[in-house]
Amino acid sequence: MEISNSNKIKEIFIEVLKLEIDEYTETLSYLEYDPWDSITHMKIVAKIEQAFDVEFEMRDIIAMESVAKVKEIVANHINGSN
Amino acid sequence: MTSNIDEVYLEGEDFIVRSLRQSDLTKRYLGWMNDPEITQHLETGENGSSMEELVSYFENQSESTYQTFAIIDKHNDKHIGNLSLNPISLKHNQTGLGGIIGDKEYWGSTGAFVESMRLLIEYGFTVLKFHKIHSGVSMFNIPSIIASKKVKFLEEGYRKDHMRYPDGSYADVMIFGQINPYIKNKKT
Repeated sequence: MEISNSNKIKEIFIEVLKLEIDEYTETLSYLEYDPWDSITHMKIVAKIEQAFDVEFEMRDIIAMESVAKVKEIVANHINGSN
Repeated sequence: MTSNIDEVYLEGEDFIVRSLRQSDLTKRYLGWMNDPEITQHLETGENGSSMEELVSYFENQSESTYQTFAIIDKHNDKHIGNLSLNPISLKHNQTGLGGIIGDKEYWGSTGAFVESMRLLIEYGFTVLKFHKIHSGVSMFNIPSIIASKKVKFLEEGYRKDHMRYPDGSYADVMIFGQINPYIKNKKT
């Protein structure tokens, strides 16, 4: 993923989950991090859809359980639309 | 009016999961079961519920069929939803797990559902010693799917177009399962 796109995702996570910079990692996951719940999840999804002008399927939304997985799914959408 | 099961009382940090009591069968609870917004993701309740049906459901609980539990907010003693072990299969030593958060004030976070499910799953594995606990969640029910993953349910598959919604659309149902981590009794 391009650095600029990666940074967009990082900014969204930091804003929605109110993270400190060092709390943002590839392994951050809603399975372990309680503030990342259904409400914040849908906010993250909505902001990513807006930022990248994409629309995710329900299965993608559910599969976005970590930062790494979010990046992978976003990359697939960007590449798929080219 | 009684149920056929012993009282269960499980205390967490913010919530209590205890056996449903006769005194819980209130108009407020009945209102949850007749609110389409609350019941939209349930497989049951297509025509709403009556107090007689709630009473019958309560009275017919047993350790071999299903058990229903109230979720109580520890901080205000408020009954905010229910969980159930349903259907229980003693033959296969497993149970389904389902529930609702009826009080919409608690819809802002998955916290209540996650904590109460963790309590009941722990009880199901350590006291009732089920080999497996499973559940099915509509793909449209994102909060419950996230809550299910948070309590370490694993995805086992999908049931295609398994639920119909009032607008006529059909949703897949995600099948989740969790094997008792405390006992090893797999037949090989």
